[in-house]
Amino acid sequence: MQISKAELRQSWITENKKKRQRMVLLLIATAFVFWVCICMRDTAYLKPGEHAFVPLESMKSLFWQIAISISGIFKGTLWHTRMDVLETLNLSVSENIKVTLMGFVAGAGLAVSGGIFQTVYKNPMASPTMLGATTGVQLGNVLMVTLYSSQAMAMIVMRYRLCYLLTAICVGGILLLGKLAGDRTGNPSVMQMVMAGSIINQAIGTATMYLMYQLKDEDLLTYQQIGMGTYIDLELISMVLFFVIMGVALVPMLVLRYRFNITGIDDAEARVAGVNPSPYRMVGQICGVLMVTAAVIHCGQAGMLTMVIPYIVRNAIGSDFRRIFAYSAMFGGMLMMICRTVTRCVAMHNAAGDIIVDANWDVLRFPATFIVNICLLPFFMIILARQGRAFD
Amino acid sequence: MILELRDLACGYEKDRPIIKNITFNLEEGQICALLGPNGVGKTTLFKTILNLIPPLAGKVCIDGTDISKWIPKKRARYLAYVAQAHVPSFPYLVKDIAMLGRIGQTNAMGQPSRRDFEVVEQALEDVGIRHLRDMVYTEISGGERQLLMIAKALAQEPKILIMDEPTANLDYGNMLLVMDCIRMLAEKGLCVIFTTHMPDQAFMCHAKTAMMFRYDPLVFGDCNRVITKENLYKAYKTDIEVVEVLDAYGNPVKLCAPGFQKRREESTIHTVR
Repeated sequence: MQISKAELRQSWITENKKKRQRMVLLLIATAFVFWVCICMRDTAYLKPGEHAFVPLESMKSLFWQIAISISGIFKGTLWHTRMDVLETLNLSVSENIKVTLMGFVAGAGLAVSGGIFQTVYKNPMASPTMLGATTGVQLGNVLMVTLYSSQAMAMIVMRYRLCYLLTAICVGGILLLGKLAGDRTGNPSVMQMVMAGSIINQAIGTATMYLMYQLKDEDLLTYQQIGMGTYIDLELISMVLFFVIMGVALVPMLVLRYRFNITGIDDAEARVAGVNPSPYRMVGQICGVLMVTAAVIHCGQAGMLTMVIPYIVRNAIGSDFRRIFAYSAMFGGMLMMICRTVTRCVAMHNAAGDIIVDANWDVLRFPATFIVNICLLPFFMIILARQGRAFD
Repeated sequence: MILELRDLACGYEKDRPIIKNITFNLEEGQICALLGPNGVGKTTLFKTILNLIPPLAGKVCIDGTDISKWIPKKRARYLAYVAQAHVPSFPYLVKDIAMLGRIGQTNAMGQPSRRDFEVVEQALEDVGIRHLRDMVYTEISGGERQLLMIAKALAQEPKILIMDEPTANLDYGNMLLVMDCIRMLAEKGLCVIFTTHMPDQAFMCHAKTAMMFRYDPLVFGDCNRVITKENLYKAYKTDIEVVEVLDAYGNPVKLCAPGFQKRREESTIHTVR
């Protein structure tokens, strides 16, 4: 039966309206979480009587910082008195914004990369760690500390270079091993890729452990700080590198988010439909590895975020990669922002109730991924329980 | 529109063709049932027609042009494929799976347009599952899933639909649902080619039939002429009678009836009483 034009038009409008409403709600929720995070103060430095959540003061501080920046462009009088103004505000909202924004982008990148790998490998439990993305960073971090000791924390460009080089070697090794183990056309199955990944990850992990064992106490603390992401580098070069790499990886996936669905269906069907899925798989994996590596350099281990967030989105919203991309990015970003803020506001205490500080007298924090994993562990248990009854 | 197979030889290795000398033509609106024993090369023939593997000899032509020289996007406008086994990795929605049929029509950076949406809705309506559009693929029946795969192929707006055992693993009711859909598509002008292990299905569609044999050349023609007791024995090494009965409306219907009694008499297996 031919559907009438009017009915088709109505269906189209209803479909788009539902999508827009969901997206608007999601954007509002993300903006709200972002605002709450930048209005939270570091509780380790609170004076008696002060509150942790200070929206009014934060917005005032933000306003004055923007005003001072504009005044600086035009060399206005406010620019010359900026230090007096900032001293009276007693808040550093700009630092909050940097940390929160980087946390959002890192969380978004991790979640999207998890969605990419699950789609490419057609497996809801796949994650970028299969290709050794995080193993390379771990080895890179320990090598940096071994070579440069505490100076490694300031050598962000060198860290990025070394971590990406080692990640590329890990990924290349796993892909080569997978190809050797694959069928006569060189295509490995998911199980073969997992096994190849395990072999390389174990080998690299052993080398990492050996190097860690050789570290002195203060170097071990430095490694923990950069490896777990408790030290956040807010230097301009660090932020530029991070955002550029994330942009380079996220933008192609944003543009190709509809076409990327082709990687999740049978190859023969895809080719008959007029699209070769292989280039999209390659682009997806490259972008996924770039995102994960940058995110792990910045905020420590990926944890369960890469696996659980896309899985939840897929079950709640749908398996279309357009939805996986948008919702995973937002939810992953929100979760990381919240966990970052929690770690920023909660200092580690000893048995006597005193705040623990490091050798530089900086307050010791929980790693953000520690909080992320605690939040996601119940969902992971539910996923495991459902897998036994799930559709294969 | 005419699909021509000219002296086609198919296989995976250059000097070892699995099948050869395949020649027949099909026009729009025709249905062709491809019959033959397991392993004779039916799926290999399909893969060659779809250009998933290159022909070892001969050509596949549409309207006189060799399709192996076409770009994939152009081929997708003529040929669509419904695979035998299709287990998606994830619980996609019905409408999302159908929309995947349009993926080759969008550009690499594009999103489905309103026209794509309308084509998909019409495809779902044509196969009778539009009311299931918001359901998850795993929650619909086997017959409905098969119809969804057909809708996905129809969303490509092809002229030729190739289906590899479309009724495998379907119960009798769902099988009739799919066969009815095939007849409806042919009436709309589509050329449909499907493989089956049930010769009755060729009679159901009044289809052209191409019967493949292990050691004899392919036989092509009207189902009444091709599906005979002799050809069925040559293909399946089994005595199968072709009988004609009248349906509830008095229309003659041809069926295949296997000769179990003769098989039992010829069997060398002795039962202990």
